[in-house]
Amino acid sequence: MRGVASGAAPLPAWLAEPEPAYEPPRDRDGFLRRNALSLASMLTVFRTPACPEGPIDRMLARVSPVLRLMGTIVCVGCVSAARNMAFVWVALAATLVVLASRPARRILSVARPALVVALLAALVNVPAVFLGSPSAPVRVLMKSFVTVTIVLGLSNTVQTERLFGALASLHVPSHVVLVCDLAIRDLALVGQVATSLNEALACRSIGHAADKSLGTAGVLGMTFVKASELARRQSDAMACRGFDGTFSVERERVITPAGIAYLVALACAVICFVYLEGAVA
Amino acid sequence: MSLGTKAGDEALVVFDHVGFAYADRDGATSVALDDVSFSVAAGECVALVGPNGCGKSTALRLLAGLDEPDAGEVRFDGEAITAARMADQAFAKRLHKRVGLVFQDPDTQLFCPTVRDEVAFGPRQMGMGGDELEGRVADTLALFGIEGLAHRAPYHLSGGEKRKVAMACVVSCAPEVLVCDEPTNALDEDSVAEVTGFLKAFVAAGRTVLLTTHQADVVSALGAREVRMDKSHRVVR
Repeated sequence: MRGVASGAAPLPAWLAEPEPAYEPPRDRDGFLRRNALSLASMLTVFRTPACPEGPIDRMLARVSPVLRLMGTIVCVGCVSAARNMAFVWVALAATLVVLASRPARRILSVARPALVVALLAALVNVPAVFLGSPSAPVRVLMKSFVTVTIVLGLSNTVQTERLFGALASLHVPSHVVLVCDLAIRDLALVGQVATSLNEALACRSIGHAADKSLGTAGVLGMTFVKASELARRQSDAMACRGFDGTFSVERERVITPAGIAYLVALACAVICFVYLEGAVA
Repeated sequence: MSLGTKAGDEALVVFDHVGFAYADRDGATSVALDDVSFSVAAGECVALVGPNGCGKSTALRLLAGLDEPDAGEVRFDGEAITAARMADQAFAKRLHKRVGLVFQDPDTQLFCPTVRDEVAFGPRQMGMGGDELEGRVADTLALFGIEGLAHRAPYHLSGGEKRKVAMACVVSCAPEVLVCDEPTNALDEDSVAEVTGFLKAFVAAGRTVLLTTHQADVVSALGAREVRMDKSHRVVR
């Protein structure tokens, strides 16, 4: 045995004796580090299980995910295609009612990203004001907010497994569903790895890095290596558990009382859309 | 500025009625630490022991400034470690120089192409170069008996070797406090003896060790003071 454990090798002088007070050299890596860390931690949200809270979400939870998925696609399509702002106002009002029925932290978790996306979309459309379309930014802002809120509402309140079951019910090939399922799981794990690596980099960045790329490239490289390792291990584990290429997901009943009520509400939304669009035409 | 000098008679590391809970994206929380208080004097070796999930690793993260307590204070050398203080880069770098954290999973701590680069990363950041840097890297590799791995990629090493490299890359910065999260996990007997031997020598040199472990024999081998936590996320009196 070698090293200090053998009792033969004493600590080197720089470790055995106290050092003078350390004053770190100035560096400008804070921005890069903070952003890398927040990007990595964003991926970890995929591991959070969806859980319906609030009276409306609890009612919606009884609806088959197939219908929820189809309903979301229809609503997003109608809002995006609407030329009559009255329909967007109606959709916004309905969205806000659903949002308001949730606990405050749920409202924040949906409203914050929806607002950021909506504001960015509006910002991109500001030049349209000077090109003869003064209402474009407001229209885009409202449409973006409503569509992002609807999609986030679905992802926050329907478990991923149920959503994949819905995809299978819509006759999406099982290998596509499998890839989606694995991708979501692995994204969360890779996010955790990247977060830990960035934290380690922060802990070890105690001074000035002449070559900024060394740490960042190392973190990216290790994240890639770990991602491929995770995929390989997952594949080995599935083979060991007798996976034969068939990915079966639990399918739920589509036509239930809650499902019928949901379809009626959806039909009303579509009629409202057609009627208001007809008024424009 | 701060973190440069000793503050009065207070212990070097102080957890003062610390509470912390992890929050998910919806704000739902799970408690990790509940009113935890203990201290570590300079030159002391303290082992945080307790069952899985009782908050040991979280306590170490708070000391390294990776998270901020929801209640109470974590103080190092008399100064509270808060998010606001950690936003000051000079403070954060000084803290990380003085408090070296060895992560539980070495795979998430090692990111350089070779072991030599890993060990040189910290000293190079401190402004070392040339013979001084080479000397420090050689000393550190010899300290852990890993000279033969110098040009290997950390990713390709065995679990025990990775753990030693992870410790070596923190020790090369000569931290005053070595904070180790389960340093002897998954190590064979010889490697455990090597690591405990190093930690004893480190403490004998007047430096401080705070570690978490499940292994009672490691605590007794180190002669460490035990701070026991339980499932209620509190320190057992």
